Amino acid sequence: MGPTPLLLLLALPLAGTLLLPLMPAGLASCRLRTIAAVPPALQLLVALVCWRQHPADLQLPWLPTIGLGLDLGLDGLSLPLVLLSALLTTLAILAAPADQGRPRLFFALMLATNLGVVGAFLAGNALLFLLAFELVLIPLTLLVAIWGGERRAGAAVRFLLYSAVSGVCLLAAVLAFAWFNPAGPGFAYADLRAAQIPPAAQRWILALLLLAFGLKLPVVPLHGWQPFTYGQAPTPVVMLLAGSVSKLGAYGLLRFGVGFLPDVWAAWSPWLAAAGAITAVYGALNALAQSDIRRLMAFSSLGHMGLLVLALAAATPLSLQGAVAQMLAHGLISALLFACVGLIERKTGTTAIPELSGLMNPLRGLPFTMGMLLLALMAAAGIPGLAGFPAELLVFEGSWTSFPRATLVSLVASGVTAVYAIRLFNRVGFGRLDNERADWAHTRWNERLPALTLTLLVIGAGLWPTALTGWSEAQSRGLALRSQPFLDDPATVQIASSQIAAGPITATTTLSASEPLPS
Amino acid sequence: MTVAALQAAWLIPLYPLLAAVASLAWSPGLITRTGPRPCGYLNLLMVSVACVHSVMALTALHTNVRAGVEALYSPVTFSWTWLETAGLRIGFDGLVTEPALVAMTVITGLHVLVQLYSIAYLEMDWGWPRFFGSLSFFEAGLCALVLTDSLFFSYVILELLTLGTYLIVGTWYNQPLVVKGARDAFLTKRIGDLILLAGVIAVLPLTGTWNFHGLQAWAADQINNQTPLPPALPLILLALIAGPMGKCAQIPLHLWLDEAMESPLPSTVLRNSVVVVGGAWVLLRLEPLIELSPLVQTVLVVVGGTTALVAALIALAQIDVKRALSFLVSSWLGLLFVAVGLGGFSVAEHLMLVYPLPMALMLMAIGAIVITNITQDLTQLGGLWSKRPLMGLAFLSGAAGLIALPPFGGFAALRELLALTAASSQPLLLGGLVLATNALISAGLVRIFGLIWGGRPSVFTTRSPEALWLMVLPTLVLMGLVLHLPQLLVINGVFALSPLPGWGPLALPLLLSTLLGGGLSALIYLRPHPLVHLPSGLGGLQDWLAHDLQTERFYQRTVVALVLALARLSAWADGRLIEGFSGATGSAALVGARRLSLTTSGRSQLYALSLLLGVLLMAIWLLAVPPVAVPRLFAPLR
Repeated sequence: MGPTPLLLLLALPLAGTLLLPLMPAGLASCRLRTIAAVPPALQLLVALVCWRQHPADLQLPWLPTIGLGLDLGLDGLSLPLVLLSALLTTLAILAAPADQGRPRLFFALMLATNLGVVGAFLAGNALLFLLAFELVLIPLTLLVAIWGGERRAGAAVRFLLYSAVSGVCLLAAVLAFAWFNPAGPGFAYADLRAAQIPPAAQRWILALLLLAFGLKLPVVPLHGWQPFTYGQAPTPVVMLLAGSVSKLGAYGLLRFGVGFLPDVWAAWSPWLAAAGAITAVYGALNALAQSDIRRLMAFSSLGHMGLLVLALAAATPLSLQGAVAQMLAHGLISALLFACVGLIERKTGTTAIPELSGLMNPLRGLPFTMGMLLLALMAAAGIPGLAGFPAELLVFEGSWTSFPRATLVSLVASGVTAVYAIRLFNRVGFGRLDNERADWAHTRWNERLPALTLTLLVIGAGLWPTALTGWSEAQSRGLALRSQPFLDDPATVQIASSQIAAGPITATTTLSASEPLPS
Repeated sequence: MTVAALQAAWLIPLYPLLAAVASLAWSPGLITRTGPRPCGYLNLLMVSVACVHSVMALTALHTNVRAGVEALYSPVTFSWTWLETAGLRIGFDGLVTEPALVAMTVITGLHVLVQLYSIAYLEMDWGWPRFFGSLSFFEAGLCALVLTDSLFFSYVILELLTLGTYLIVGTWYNQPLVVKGARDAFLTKRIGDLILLAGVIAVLPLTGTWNFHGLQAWAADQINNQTPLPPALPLILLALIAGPMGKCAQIPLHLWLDEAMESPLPSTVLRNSVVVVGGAWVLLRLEPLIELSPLVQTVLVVVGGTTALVAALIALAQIDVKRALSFLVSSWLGLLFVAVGLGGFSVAEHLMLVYPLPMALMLMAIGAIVITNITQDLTQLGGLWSKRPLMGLAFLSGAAGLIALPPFGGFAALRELLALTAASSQPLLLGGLVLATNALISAGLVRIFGLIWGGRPSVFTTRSPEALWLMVLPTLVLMGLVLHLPQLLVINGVFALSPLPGWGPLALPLLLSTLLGGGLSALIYLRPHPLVHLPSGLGGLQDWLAHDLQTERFYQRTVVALVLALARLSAWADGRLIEGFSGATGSAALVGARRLSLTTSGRSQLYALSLLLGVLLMAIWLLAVPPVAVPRLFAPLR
C-alpha cells in the first residue's frame, strides 16, 4: 500500500485542529464533543488499516538545506503507540464533561496534542521528531493554564519550564548527532543508526537524551512537574498526558538510546537499571503517602515508568518486549484510572481521600465507577488477568538475568503498589457512605463509555497478552543488546507435559551481569 | 459418554467461571428488576453442573479399565498458549490426573453443598451476586489449580484467589472490622505471592521450564548426573515455598486467616476446607525440587512444626469460635508442612485427602448455631445439646474425622505421619510434636464442643430457634460423607483395614494422645470449671495466646511502621527537594516574566528596535567569529 495512510494519520487531527475553532459559536458543547471525537476515531481506523496492510514509507523534502524532510514511517515500535494515542485521544475527548467550557478551543488543542504525539511517533527523521516533540508542549501548556484547577497558572508554568528544558536538551542532542557524524550531517534515522560517533561524544549525547526523555517520562529526580500538573490539569488532559504523551519519552529512549547509541547505552545500563528501580520504589512509596487520589495516581504512574526504564536498561529481547507491553499497558491503565477519577470528581466534587468513603454502595454510591476503579487499581498492582501483569512479568523475567538486584527491588515496589491500591480502595470504596453528602446523580452510560472501553481493553489485554507484545516482535529483537541463552536453546524452552522422560535437559546457567554485545 | 466426560475435563473450571462472570450482570441495575436471588440460583446450577461432570469423569476413570490405565500412564492433556514472545512460551498445560479428578470432585461437591447452605445463611442479604459470584470464582480457580501442570499458572491462580479473598471478605464492607480483615488478608497473602513470583521468575533461567513435570525431570537429572546444584537454588526454593506458606497461613504469614473470618460464614467453610489446601497442593507439586535442598526441607519442618504447635495453643485461647477453628486450620496444615519437609509425599497427600470434608462439616455445624443464636462468641454460648443435638452430632463427627480417633478418617493419616517422624533424624522431638499437636487439636475441638453444646444455656441460647432446612440438609449430607470417608479410602486401597482402618505401629500412643487431650478438655469445658480461665499467676499467658502472640502488634511496629516511615520520608524529601526546587524555578520564572512585562512601554518602535538589534548582533557573531566546527554542521546552508 502507498504512503497515503501515513499522511492521513497526520491530516486528520490537523484538519480537526484547524476546523474546530471555525464551528459556529452557538453549537452545543456536547455536540462539539462528538464532532471532535471523529478525527481521532478515523485516525484509529486508519491506523488499524495500516496494521493489516503495511503502508510504504514516505520521504518528502521539506527544508532540504537544514536536512529536515517529511520522512514518515510505521514500524513495530511506532504502530502500537500510534494506535494507543488515537484511541486515547478519542476516549479523552469523550470523557470531557458535557458542559465543557470554551469547547471549540479545548477540543482543538486536544487534537493539536494528538497531532504532535502521532507526528513524533511517525517521524523517520530526528528533526521532524524534535519538531513534533516540541509541538506537543504548546497545546498542553494552554490546556493546563486555561482549564486547570485552582493553581493552574503555577502548574502550567512548571510544566512549560520542565518541557522546555527537555526540548532544549533534545535539540542539543539531535544537533550533536549530526555534528559529530564523520559521514556528514544527516538527520534521517538511517543516517543516525549508521553514524560512527566517537565514544566520548556518544556519552554526551546520551546524557542529553536521558535528560530530555527522563524529563518527559518522568524519572526520579526529574519528575518535579508531574504530580503538580496531574493534580491540576483537567481529567481528559491528564488521560492524554499520562496515557500517551509520557510514552514519547519511553519511545525516545528506545529509539534513540537503545537504537542509535547501543554501546554507551549498554555501558551505562547498570546505572539506568538502578535509576529505574529507584524510580519504581520512590513512586510507590510516595503514592502511599498521598491524601489526594490524583496525586496518588501521579506517583503511581511514576513508579510504573521506573519498570519501563529497568526493562530498557536490560535490553534483552524479552525485556524490550516487556518495555513495549508496559508502554501500552500503562497507557491503558493510567488513562482508565484517570477516567474513573474524573467520574468520581464530577459526581462528588472532590478527589481528597479523607472526604470520600463507602462509594461502593449500590444505590446511593457510584458502584459502577468503583468496580472499574478496583479493576484499574488491580491492573496497576499487577494482578494476573489484567493488562499490567503480562507487561510486568516480561519486564521482570527479561531483566532478571541482567540485573537481578534491580529486578528484586522493582518487585518490592510492585508489592507496595498493591498496598496503596488496597489502601485507596478500602477508604474510598469500602466503609460507610457519608449520609450528608451522598446524594449524587448516577453515572450515565455515555459518561461511562470511555472508562468502560478502557476496562474491556485492560481485561482483554490481560487474557490475550499478544495484543501487547505482538506488534514489536521483529523490531525489538533487532534492538536487543543482550541475549538470554535459556530462551534460545530449544532443549530448555519447553518440555511438553506429556513427555515426562524427555531425556537429559541441558541446564543453563544465569548470565553474569553480562557484558554488552557489540552492536 | 463417560470417557467423553474425562476427555472434556478441562471444561470443569469453565462452568463456575461462566457463572461468576454472569453474576456481574446483576450489578444494581438488574437487581432492582429481578432481585438478587436468580443470580444465586444460576451460580448453584453451574456449580452443580461442574460437580456432575467431575463425578462422571472420575467414575469414567475408575470403571472404564482402558481409560483408567491410559489416564494413569498418559493422562489426558490439553494446552492453551497464553503468551509467546521473544522465544518464551507461557502456556496453561493441563493434565487430567487421578488426584486432580479426586480433588475436583471434592471441591465441586463441597461448593454445591455450601452454595445450598448459603441460600439459607444469606436469606435476607442483598449482596448475593457478589457473594455467589465470588464463591464460583473460587471454585473455578481451585479446579484450574489442580488441573494445571504449570508452576507459573499456579502462581497466577494463587494470586487471583488472593484477590477473590479480598472481595469475599469485603462482602459486608461497611463494617470497619471487615474492611481491616479484607485489607490484611489481601496484603499478607500478596507478600507470599510476590515472593513466590520472584521465585517463579528466578527458577526459569535455571530449569528452562515452568512445568511441574519438567521441573521434576530437571531435579532427577541433577541427582542422576551428580551435577553441583546452582548456588542460588536454596534461595529460589525458599521463595517458592513462600506462596504456599502464605496460602496455608503458616507462621509468620498466618495473620490473615483469622481476620478473614469477618467474611460470611459459608465462604469461611470453603476457605478453611479447600482454598487453603490449594497452597498445600502447590507445595506437594514442588516436592521433587524441595528434595534437592536439605536446608529448605529443614525450613519446612521448622515452620510447619512451630505453626502446628503454636497455632493449636492459640486456638485454645480464642473466644471467637470461627477464629478458634481458623487457628486449628493453620495447625493441621503445619503438620502437612512437616510431612513435606520430611520427604513424605504420600503421607502429605493422605493428610490432604482426609482434611477438607471434616473441617467443612464442623464449620457448617457452627454456622447453623451462629446464625440462629446471633453470636459467635464462645463465652456467650452453651447448653445447646438438648436444643440442637443434630448440629452437635455433626460437629462431633467432623471433629472425630480430623483427630486421630479410629475408625474415623484422620487417624490413618496421622499415624503415618507419626511413623514418618519416628523414622526421621529427630524421632523424639518430631514424634513428640505430632503427638502434642494431635492432643492440642483434640483439646481445642472438644473445648469448642463443650462451650457450645455443654454447660448451661446462656441469654443467647435459651431460645435457640431451629435453623432453616437448607442449612441442615447439606450439613447432614456432608456428615454422612465424612463418616463414610474411611470406608471409601479403604475400598480404594489408600489405607489397609486391619483391624481398624489405618491401624499399625505407633497407633497406641497416638490414640492415647487424642484421649488425653480430648479427655482433659472435656473435663474442663463440658461442665463449667474454674480452669476455664487460667490463674493470673501464669503471667497473662492466656491473654497472650488469645491475642495471637501479639503478632499483629509486632507487624504494626515493624513492617507496617517501616513502610510508613519510608513513605513519609520519601514524601518529605519529595516535598522539600523536588517540589521546592520546581516551585522555586517556577516562581522565579513567574516573577521574571512579571518584571519583564513591566519594562514594556507599549510602543511598537521599541519592539522593532530591539528586534533589529538582535538580528544585528547575530549577524555580527556569525561574521566575526568563524567557529571551528560549525561550518561542517551548517555546510548545507551554503
